Amino acid sequence: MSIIKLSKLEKIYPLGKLEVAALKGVDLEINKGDFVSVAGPSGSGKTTMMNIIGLIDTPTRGEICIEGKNAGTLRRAELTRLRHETIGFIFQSFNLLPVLSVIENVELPLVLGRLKMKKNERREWVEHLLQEVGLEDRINHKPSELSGGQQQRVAIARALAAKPQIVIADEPTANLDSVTGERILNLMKQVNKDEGTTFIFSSHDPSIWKIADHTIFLRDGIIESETRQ
Amino acid sequence: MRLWHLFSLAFRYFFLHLRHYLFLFAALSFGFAVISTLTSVQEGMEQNLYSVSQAHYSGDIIMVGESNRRYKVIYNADEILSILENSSMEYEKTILRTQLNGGTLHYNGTALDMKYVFGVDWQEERDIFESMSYTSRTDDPYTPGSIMISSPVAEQLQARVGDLLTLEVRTLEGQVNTMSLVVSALVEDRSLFGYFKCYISRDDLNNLAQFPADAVSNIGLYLNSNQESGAVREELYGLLSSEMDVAPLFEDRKGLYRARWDKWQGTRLFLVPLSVYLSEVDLLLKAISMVSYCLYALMVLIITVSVAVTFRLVLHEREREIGTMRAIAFHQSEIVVQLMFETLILFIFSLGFGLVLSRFVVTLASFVDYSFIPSFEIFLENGKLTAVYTVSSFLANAGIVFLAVLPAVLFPVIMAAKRPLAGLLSGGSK
Amino acid sequence: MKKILIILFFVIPSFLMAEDYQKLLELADSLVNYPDHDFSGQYTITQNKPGQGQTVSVAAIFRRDSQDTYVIVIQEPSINKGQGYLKQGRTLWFYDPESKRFNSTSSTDRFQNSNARNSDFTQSTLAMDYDVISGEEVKLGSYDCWLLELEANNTEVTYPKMKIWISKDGLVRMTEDYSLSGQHLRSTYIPDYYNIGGTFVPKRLLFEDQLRGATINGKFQKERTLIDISSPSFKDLPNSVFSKSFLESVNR
Repeated sequence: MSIIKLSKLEKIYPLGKLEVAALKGVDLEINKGDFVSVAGPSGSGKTTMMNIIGLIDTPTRGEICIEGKNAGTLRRAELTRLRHETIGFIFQSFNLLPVLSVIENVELPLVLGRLKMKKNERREWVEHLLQEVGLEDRINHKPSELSGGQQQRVAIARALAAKPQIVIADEPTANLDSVTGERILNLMKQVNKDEGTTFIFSSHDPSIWKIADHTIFLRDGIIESETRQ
Repeated sequence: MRLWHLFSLAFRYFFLHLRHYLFLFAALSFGFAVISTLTSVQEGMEQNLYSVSQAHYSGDIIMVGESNRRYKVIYNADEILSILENSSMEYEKTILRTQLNGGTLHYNGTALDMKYVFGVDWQEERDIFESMSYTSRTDDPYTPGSIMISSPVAEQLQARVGDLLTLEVRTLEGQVNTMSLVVSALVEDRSLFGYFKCYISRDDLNNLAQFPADAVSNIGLYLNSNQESGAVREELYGLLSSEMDVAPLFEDRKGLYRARWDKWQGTRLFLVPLSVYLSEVDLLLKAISMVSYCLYALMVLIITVSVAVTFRLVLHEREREIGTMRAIAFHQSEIVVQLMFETLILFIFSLGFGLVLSRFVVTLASFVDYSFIPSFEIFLENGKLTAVYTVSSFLANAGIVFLAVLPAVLFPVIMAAKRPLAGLLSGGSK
Repeated sequence: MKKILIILFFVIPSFLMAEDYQKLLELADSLVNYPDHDFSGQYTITQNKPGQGQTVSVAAIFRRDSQDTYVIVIQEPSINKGQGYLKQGRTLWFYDPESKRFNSTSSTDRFQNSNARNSDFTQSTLAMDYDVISGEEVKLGSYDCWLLELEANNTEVTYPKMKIWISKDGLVRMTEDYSLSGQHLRSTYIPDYYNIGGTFVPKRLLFEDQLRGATINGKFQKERTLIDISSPSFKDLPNSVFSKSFLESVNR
């Protein structure tokens, strides 16, 4: 059953008097529990499509449905709530909040989110996540005291904290060495398998596409091909 | 709970971004220091003026007896005091004085005309005289047969404490009379009020000017600090007008003059608020206030512009951070609240530092003697500027600065929070 | 009338009763008052303030005693030229040519900041204003005088107490003015008089202040004002002289 459905999705950016079409009519269905990689050269529209799926950006034309809800019909606050409740984000540059410790960074979506949890339950859940990502002995460290790989693992734990249905990861291994990057991907795969969370990540690296169930190839704003394993 | 978390986050972010906030902190602190200094010094000047005037005119409300005589005389002072004491009217105290507008002091051939000769009850006004500054004085200057003169007068007469002066006055009927008096103190008072006046005992002056022994020129009423002069004056009018001839109330000098043009028999009592006498320096006060307000407005403008420009830069540098927060957990309004909390923390620290800076500046300024500025002495205490810091002034200044800073901060914060998320996360504005 | 009084006083034994002292005052007044004529003269007023030098003023005086009025016009120095005084009954006006305004002043005030008072230029009213407290015969220089102690019987006069030396011819030779408390304030010396047909006009008046002065070379010198009276005349004057418009016209 599809958790994400894109229909005739178009995204056009005005550039002065010109218009640049980043997406030119994309139709796509992603099933629940899929481990999806989005591939394509620079300028293919990967980031644009990821942003629209992540409800960070809105399409110029077309439709996007998340869990059966048409995002185009939602008001801004409802869209924000849907994003917070349904989608977790892993950024290329980790984007951890520098003033918070590791455990506080991971806890943040739960503290400010609508997921009802008692404080001790929340603590337990966050510590479990950090244990899963192998950072149980770094919980009180600040992000500036961690390596890149450690920071990305914190980001993964943060993305999973609110138990989202979907996790969007934009070039999650781009700033990591190959060994660390592989470890991160394996971790994501493990979570996908254990929790059934749908993962959508973009990457330039062809070797990474291999571990995905569903690979989408984008070029010039359209889907060139799709493969499923 | 969410608000507490936002505040806690704001507090941590404030210190993390202290480097970015430093210029803002400096601008706000300096601006607030200037504003606080302006208002506190102005209040100090007004307070000094009021204190000096209060001591000179002997009270907050002065009951003056006007007739067609040479001098102002109240013949029924005892009756007035009795009415006051038997009423429920609240006041701090009453002061009785005889006053002559004129007189000449003679010493060793030098003659100096006085503007005022005050006859005072030394013991009743002891605390007033103890609060004055003296160039020199005897241990107990409050004795019959003694005279206190100001130091400029003493310089011109070349008289010192212990010297015998002759005071020449006109009596109530206009005859020349003289009295020998011993200088008991030289008052260090070079203000507009201080020059060419002297103090002797009321009994001595009544005798010299041939006033009846129990007659006075005016009765000064000192009010409690929380009392409003207008209301008390009305109450006083109500008490006295049924028993004696009291002039209708007036609010300014013109009103006083108009009341004096009226014709009446015998003595009419005028209830004069100190503010009427102070209206003589009203123009000067207004000029000082105008300058102060202009500087104040200029400072607020500088603060507003500095904050607006700097804050936009700070927000621009934090766009990706704002985008991340919005993506993972924050609503737009929560971003605004958190950033406003950071501003509030900055504001509070700036107020505190600004206040300390203001006090430091005022303390430094108080080492200079400003009495060389003509007509400025009435606003000074012993030639020095004093500052009065009150809670109400602090709150008013803080409120005004806050209202000026608020739009300068709120507008860019709202704009930053509302920017397209994609643009924020990509690190640039779209 | 004056001559009869003079003869009487020369004839009567030197011991006088109180009421006779009063008549002595009347005589002294009558010798220097001019009820039947107008009087005019030039007054040269020399003020000597020890340590500050001398200043000289010249003024023209016009008196009409029958109406209790006088006019003084300052002629010198140039800085005060045109200033004037007009006494009409109990009111004394001062005219300032700079502002062209008349301001009310007092007879008891100092004349042009000298040791003379405005009241020194009006007719003599000793008998009316003072009661004789005591009297005795004394010598004043070469003059045999009566020394009278006077106290004012009203509050209109400048000095509430006086001592007055009147020579046998009824002319005042010296006065001492006192405050109410008995402080000696001023001495006035009148050494000689013009005798114009039995009417006397002081030739000079010397006022010596007892309180004002300065110590020069270790010696206290008192402030003095000397008034020299010249060109006395009893020619009648136009009524217009004793008016405000006269003072204004002098300055046009």
